[in-house]
Amino acid sequence: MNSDSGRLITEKEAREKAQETLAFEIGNLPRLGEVEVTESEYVFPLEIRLPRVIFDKAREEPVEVKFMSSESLGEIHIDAATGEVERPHIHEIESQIRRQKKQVENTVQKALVRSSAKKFSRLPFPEHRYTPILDVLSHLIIEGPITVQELEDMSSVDAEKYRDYIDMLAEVDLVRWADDRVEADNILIELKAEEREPPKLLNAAMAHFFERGADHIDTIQEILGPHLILSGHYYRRALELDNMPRMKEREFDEVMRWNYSGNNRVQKRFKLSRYLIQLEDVGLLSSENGTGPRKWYGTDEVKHDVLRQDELLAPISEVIA
Amino acid sequence: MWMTLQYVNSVYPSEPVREATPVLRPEKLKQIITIREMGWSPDQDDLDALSEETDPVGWEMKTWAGAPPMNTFYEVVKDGFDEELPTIAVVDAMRLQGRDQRGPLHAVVVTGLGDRKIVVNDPWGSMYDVYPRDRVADAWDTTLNRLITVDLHEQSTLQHTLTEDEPE
Repeated sequence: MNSDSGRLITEKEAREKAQETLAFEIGNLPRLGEVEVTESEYVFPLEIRLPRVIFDKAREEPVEVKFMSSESLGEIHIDAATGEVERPHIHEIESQIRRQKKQVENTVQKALVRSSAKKFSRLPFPEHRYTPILDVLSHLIIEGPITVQELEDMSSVDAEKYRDYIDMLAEVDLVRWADDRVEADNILIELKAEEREPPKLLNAAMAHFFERGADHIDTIQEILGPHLILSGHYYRRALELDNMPRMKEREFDEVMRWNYSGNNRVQKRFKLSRYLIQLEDVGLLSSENGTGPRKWYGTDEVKHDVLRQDELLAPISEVIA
Repeated sequence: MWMTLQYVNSVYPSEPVREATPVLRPEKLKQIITIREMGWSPDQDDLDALSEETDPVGWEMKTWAGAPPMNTFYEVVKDGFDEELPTIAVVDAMRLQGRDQRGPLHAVVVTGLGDRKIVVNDPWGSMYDVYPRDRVADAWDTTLNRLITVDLHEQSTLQHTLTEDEPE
């Protein structure tokens, strides 16, 4: 396509410029893809196969490095006449990479929530910052349908919030809109028929929401907060290592530090021991108290159930042991 | 770089050099050499700034756009070993594993070279990863062929001082 005739910059020179931009302005992890030559410029796709360094059980020594699938980060454009370089802003590239890194975490969390929904539903609800879902389900269980008037009586911000959560619950067939009210949908009706005690019925409804609503992982992260972050971190490591690492509280503490900031971080770190005990209580983690500090490990059952979510895990299969 | 400083600080044969070499913590190194989500991207200006902090250890970026002269990799590495100093090589991390795919570029410290084997200290691997001799050269950064060499700016001064200070 390009004969280089009439161009002041050859493809080779353009590639060198793009390589220098990559090496000295961007970073060593992305690579240049196949050039596309247009009338006025050379376009080099920026691609990356993110490395994930896998550490040993004690998280002291790297044991292996794995590479995620290739992803695009944007393009470097070289003007064929002037040689001028145009590249994505560093912040754009960084946020793309962060999104990709987050994908591993989110994928494991989705698989974990879906496969262990019942266990998560047994965590004490008052822990959760986001209770609108519980409010809606509890209302339907105890008082019956929610009228539009009840929502309209709230502030517009609250009403909007509750409507959003009702829509989310409707997507998983727990509630439905019928004329001017919200009522129990098929799943909740069925659960009601099987379980009469409200707390157990609420647990069952939440388990269903976690199982079917795992795609709304942002919302579920808000509901399950530190419990999901901690258990997700543990099982991600367990999947990468192909064994059950023994994790010290120190590592979980680091996870709290990465995930929270300010006063929230201080609080979450202080509450860490309680979170771990609660995760053990519902069967998501176990602990052993031999010599030295207590160590936490997962259960084969949970890990096995996570691995059965192979369709969900497919995008990160390259980093699973 | 931290690994190289550790080596010069604790193993290098000249005691004055060992004593004069600071071991900067990784956090301090990151203040001088920018490390982002997409890796590091040092140029010679960064390395000059680092050299000022790590004196007597100096750093130089060598690059060869296109194909470098044959055996360049081995010659530079050997030159370093002649001075008891390692060389940092930028390599394709997947090709280093022997995979026929393009992966991210990654810096390793070449610490040993024999007729058949090569030894690297790999931050993503171990301190003593042994590969067939040509593996690292084959994985060597095929874009700009970057090597970071290490020299000791003050070595002669330090040795001279040592000689002068010795009792007669």
